[in-house]
Amino acid sequence: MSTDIDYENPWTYNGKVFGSSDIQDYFGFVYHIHCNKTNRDYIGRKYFWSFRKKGSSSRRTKMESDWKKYYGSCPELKEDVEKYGKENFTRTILSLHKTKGKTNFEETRQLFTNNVLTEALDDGTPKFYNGNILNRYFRKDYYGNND
Amino acid sequence: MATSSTGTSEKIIMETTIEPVVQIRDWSIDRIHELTQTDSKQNHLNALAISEEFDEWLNLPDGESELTYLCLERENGFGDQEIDVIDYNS
Repeated sequence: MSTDIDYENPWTYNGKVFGSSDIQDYFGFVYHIHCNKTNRDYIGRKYFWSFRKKGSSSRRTKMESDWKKYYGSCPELKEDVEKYGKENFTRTILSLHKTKGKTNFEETRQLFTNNVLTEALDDGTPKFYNGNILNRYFRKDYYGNND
Repeated sequence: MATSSTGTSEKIIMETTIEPVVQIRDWSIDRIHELTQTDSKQNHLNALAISEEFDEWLNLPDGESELTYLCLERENGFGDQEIDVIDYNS
């Protein structure tokens, strides 16, 4: 596992920190972010690569994405990151994938199997920051609904 | 969820193209949901196959909530009734 950790609060995979040299031929990963203050969780996916168009050329340049400093796309989670500080969040890579399709599927599978829209903490707060699954299922339609 | 870039015959496009796209998208997600609720490895592989087949319709780019696609149709159309007909005499 990597020794080239050059970023704060690094992602871990199988209990070890994860750096650029660990990417190898992986395309993306499915992750779990835990807030140590609120005890809430977030599951998402991130690609290691971004493809940028250079000038008027039709060719695209492949470069590493912002995965190292990424804390999810969820507005509620981002608010808590601002509020409590990055150091209070644990970032874990659940799985690594070599294609975009498999990355996307595994995220969807994890969202369904972890019941992210219905799980609650003891005080009734939603356990997961995730508010929807593929814009098809929404927390507001399922959370606290026993039907 | 879905929008299209079309010129004329918007209504026909809405009825024949956009609704099926939404229906197929919803069906795919529901089916993936059903299959991943089981412990069967085969079911999970089937769910993966559906997910990969409709990937572009299911996984919208980050920050987007609309599925945008371009629908190209020939001037004289290519109706449903003609899809499975092969005219060997022409």
